[in-house]
Amino acid sequence: MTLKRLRARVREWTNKLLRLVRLDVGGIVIDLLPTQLAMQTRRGNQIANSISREPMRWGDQQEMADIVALYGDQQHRPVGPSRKYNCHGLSFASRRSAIWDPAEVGKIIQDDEYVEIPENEVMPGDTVVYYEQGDASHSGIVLRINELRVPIILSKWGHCHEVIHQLGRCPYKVDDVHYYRIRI
Amino acid sequence: MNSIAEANLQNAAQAYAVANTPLFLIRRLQEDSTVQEIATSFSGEEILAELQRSAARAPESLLDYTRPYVYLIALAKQQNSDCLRAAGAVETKDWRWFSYMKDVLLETYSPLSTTSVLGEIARMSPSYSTLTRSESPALRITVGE
Amino acid sequence: MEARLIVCAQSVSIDQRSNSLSIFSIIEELNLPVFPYAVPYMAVAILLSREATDPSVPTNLNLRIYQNNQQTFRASLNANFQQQLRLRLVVDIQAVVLQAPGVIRVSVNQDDREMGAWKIYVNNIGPGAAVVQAPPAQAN
Repeated sequence: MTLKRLRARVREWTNKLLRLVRLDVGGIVIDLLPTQLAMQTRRGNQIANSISREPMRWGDQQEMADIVALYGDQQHRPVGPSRKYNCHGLSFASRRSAIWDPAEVGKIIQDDEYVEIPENEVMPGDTVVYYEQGDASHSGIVLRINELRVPIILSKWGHCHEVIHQLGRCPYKVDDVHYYRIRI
Repeated sequence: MNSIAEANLQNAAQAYAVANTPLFLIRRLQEDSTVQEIATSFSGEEILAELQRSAARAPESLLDYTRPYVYLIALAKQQNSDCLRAAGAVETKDWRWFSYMKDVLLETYSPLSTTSVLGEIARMSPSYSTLTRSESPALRITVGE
Repeated sequence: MEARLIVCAQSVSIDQRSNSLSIFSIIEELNLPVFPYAVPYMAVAILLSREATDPSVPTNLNLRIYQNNQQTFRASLNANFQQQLRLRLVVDIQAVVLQAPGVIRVSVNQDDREMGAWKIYVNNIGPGAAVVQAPPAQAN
């Protein structure tokens, strides 16, 4: 084996090792990177979160394409698909991780002193949370209010990508939507 | 569908792809007609067996990720909760919401029993059970002016 | 174990999606022109709850119908809580004969202990004498 080829092989194996996040030794699974990040509210309470570094599988890209086709009139950012973070991870954790426990969203809103804003006072930068039967099913960031007074939201749609969309032009119900603004 | 594996899970996969929370996924799959069809067309044991088969191999596609959740919701729609409880023993390390969803479904499972009983006329006349609710019995009484 | 709800209605249905129980056209009163009268169909919706120490499969559950304080009907009920603490029971009753106006009481019992009952007030609204029409005579 030539030196050049050997270097290439070493580089290849190093890259593989660096991407290795989980070892499965005879059914015993060892996560090499944390699956939950140390993330706290302003009051020092840990926010339960989970970060999945699993690679995207076949079908994820296709699903993303289906979503783009279904909501073709909205703006689809080329960020995703990804299981590393979800909508609440974008809204409350700077895209670092996924937050899926509805109680955690409530905890963040309370601990970080978000105040609820009436719909007619919403401004860019506010956070919108979509509720369904008490579950915070979706959240996003208000980018602007359009000429028809409809908020335009930036949000992450589950495992899929980020979308800039009108409030109601998304897979989530808008029967119970609340807006929040953080109090400095 | 002749077998559970033939079920068209495209809508379920889309629900999974955009789900930010497990409760959202539960609600969407409960509304899914294919999940309903699986629940009514197959027994709990058949669905449980398919769940075990699908969870036994590492997921390779979006549909593989979706299947165990679909089967879990289908089990929750059965009249008998035994198979839903048995689903808790299935190894699902690649499906991080499975355990939580199973717990929620068991917690909210509401059993239902239905019984039909026959009244006096029906018991005297076995053919009465074929009458619809709008029909009246054979005796007719005309009220005079 | 106790019955949190018992109600008679024209129709009871279960939503397949949400598994929720819906009760349509509650029967609280029957206004009938003639007696005896056979109620062709009635649905009874019962919500039972138990303590964790009560058996999951209760025994000797029965449904009874009283007409003017006289028991005229009894049926055994099979129930299985499946280890949950609440159970919905739907009983479809076909062809109950009402002999006279008064009060019908539909009760759910365990052995002879009444857990709950639903009253139906039966009124006679017949305007006058009734003429019974027999079927036409057969030609010889």
